[in-house]
Amino acid sequence: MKSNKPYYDTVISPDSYGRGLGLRELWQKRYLVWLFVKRDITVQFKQTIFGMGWYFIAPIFSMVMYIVVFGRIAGIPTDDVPQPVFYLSGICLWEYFSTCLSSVAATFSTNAGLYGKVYFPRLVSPVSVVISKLFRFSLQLGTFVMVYLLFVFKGVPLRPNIYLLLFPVLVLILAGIAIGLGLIVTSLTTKYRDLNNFFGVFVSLWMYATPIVYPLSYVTNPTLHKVMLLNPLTAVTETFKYGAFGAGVFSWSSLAYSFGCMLVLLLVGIAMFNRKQKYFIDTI
Amino acid sequence: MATAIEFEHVSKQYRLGLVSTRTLAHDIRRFWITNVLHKEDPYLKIGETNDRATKGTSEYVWALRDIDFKVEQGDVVGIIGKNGAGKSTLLKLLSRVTGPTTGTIRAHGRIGSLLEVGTGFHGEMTGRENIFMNGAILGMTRKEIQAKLDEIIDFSGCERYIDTPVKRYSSGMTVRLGFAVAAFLEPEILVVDEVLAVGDAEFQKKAIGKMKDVSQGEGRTVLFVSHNMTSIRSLCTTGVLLEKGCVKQIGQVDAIVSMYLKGDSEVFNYKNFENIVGSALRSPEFDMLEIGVRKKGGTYDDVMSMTNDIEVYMRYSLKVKKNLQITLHVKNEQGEAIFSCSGGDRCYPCEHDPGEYEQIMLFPANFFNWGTYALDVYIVEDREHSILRDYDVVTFTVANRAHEIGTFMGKEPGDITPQFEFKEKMLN
Repeated sequence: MKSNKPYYDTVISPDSYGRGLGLRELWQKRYLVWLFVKRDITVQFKQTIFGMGWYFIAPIFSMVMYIVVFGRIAGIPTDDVPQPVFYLSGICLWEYFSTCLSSVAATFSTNAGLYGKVYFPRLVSPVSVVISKLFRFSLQLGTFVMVYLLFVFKGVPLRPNIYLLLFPVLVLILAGIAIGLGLIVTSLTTKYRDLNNFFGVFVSLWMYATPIVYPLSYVTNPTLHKVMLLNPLTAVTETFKYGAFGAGVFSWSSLAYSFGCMLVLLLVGIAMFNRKQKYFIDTI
Repeated sequence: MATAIEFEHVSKQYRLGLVSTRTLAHDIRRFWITNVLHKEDPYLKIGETNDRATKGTSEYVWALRDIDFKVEQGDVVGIIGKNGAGKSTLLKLLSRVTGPTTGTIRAHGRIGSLLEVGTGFHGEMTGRENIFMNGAILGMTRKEIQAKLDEIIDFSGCERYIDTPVKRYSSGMTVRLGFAVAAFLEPEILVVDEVLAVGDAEFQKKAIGKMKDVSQGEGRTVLFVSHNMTSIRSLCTTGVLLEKGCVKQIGQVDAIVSMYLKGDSEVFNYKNFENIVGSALRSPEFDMLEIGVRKKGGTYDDVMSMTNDIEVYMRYSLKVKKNLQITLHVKNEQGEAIFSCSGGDRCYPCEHDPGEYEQIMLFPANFFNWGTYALDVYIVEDREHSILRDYDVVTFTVANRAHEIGTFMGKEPGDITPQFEFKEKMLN
C-alpha cells in the first residue's frame, strides 16, 4: 500500500458517481465498447436473410418514393442536382442520425436486464451504438457513391470539392447530437414514459425541418430561413451537399453553430444520464 | 488482518406500488420541501423496517437499514436471511448496480460481482466470442481473458462446441461456460449470488471447489449469498444474518446458520389442530388433534439436543372402526426425505375401534445430527393407501452439543449420527 494513495480505492455512497463526466472510465473500457460493436454487427447479419444486401437496397426504396412524392408530385427543386443522388445523400445522413438517436434514446429500456446484473460504465452502451451504426451507414453510403458515379459517367456536371473533406466532422456532429439528445430522452423517459410517444412524433417531424427532401435555398421566406438555420442538422446536410455536388449553402459559422450545439447537448445529456443511471434500476 | 470492505450506516430505500404514478407530483413536493423550505424529506420516514407481512404507514420501505460492519481481507462471508431480508439488495449495492440511499461502502481493491451466470451472453455468438464478451463485462481486460482462455474453455468442459453459437448449447452448457468465465475473475473482492444453484451435481462440486481455492488458496475476500445452508457452511468462515433489512448477528458461520434455522422454526415443533379450520388431517371419520416433537420427558419449549431422546407425540380421534396406521416421513433442511417410519402391527394392533388415541414415537438419543428437520404425516388405511396426508406439519431443531460442553464443534456430514458399535482387539 502506497502512502500517497488512499487505502480504500472503491467508495460507494449516494454521491460517489455523477462527479465528472466519466469519460476517463469510458476510455478505460474501450475494449468493451469494441466488443459491443462487434456483437451488434455480427448479430445484425446473422438474423437477416438478405444479409448485407438489405442495407444496399433499403435506401433505394426510400429514394424512389421521394422522387415520386416530392420530386414529381410536389415538384420541389433539388438545386439542379439529379434527384436520385440528391435524395440519397439526405437519406443516408438522416437514416444514420435517426437510427442512432432512437437507439440511444432507448438505452435504459434495452439494457435493463444487463444493467440490473452488472456494473460497467453505462456510457459504453450509447457510444458503442453510434459506432456500430457506422457500419450500416457506410454500406448505405456505398449505394450513394455507386449512384453518384453512375451520374458522373453519364456526364452530369457534379462538382465534388475540398469541402467534402469535412465529411468526418459532419458524422461526428451527427453522432454527438444523437448521443447527447438520446441520453437526455432516455434519462427523462425512465420516469415519465409518456415522453416516449411525444419523442417519436418529434423525430419524424424533425426530418421535415431539416433540408433532406428540399434544398435550403428553396426556403425563401426570411423568417423561416432563420428558423431553419437554428436546426443544428441544417448545416450538416447542406455542407455535405455542397461538398459533394457543389450546390447548396455553406457557411463556416453555421457549421460552428452545429458543432457548438453538439457539445452542449453532449454535456447536458451525459450529465443527466450519469445522474440517472445510479438509481435507474430502482425505478423500472 | 486488514479490512477489505467497510459498511458505514448503509441504508437503501425503495418505493412501493406503481413507480410511474404521481411521481411528478411527488418529485415537485419533495423538491419544494427539501430545497426551498430546507426541511427534512417527508418521504424518508426513519425507523420503518421492511416487514412483508404487516402493512406499513409509508409507501416507502427500507430494504436495508443502517448496515454497519467490516469484512476482513481473506474472509469468506456468507450472507443469510429469509426472503426479503435484504440479501440481494446488499449485493446490488456492492456490485454498484444501484446506489445506497444513505451511508457509504468503502472497499480496498477491485470488486467483481456475479449476480448471474453468463451476463451479456448472446445466442448468435460462439462460445469463444461470448467468453470475451462476458469476461469484459465482468471487468476483465483483454489480456487477462486471452491469458486464461484455454483454462476457461477447459474448466467449462465445452471445448468441442466452443466455436458453435451459444444458442445451440444446452442450458447446462451455457451455465458451465458462464461459470467458467466467472471462476477466473481475479478481483480482490468477489461478490456471488446464488449462482451455484444451477448446473448438474458434478459441476456444482467443481464450482464449489473452485470457489474454495479462490478464497483459501489465493486469500481473496468473498461475499456469498445462498439459501443452501450446506454450501454456506462448507464455503464460508463468517456468517452475517440479515433480518428485515438489519444485521441481526455476525459471527462464526456455523453458529449463525444454526441461529437462522432455529429462529426460523422455534414455534413450529407443536401443532394443535382443534382450532384449525380446514386441517388436511381431518375427515368425517378421522381427526388429528395434536402433533408435537419434544425432548422425552420435557416440554415443547425445551431445547432438544443431540444427546436427548426425542419423541413425537400424536393424539387423534376416530369415529368409525378402521384399520389404520400413521406413517411419518422425516425430511432434512433441503427438504429431502431422509427416511420414513411407521408403527403398525409391529407395535400396536392396526384394527382400531372408534375412540380417542394417543401415540408416541421415539427417536433414540444420538440419532439425529444437529440441524432442522420436518415431518410429513400420512394416515394409512389397510396398510396400503393413505387417506389423509399433510406436509411439513411440524419442524423441529436438534441443537448441537455446544449447549452442554460449552465449546463449538463443526458439523459432521450427514443427517443422522447413529452410534454403532466398533469392536477392536490387538492382533499380536
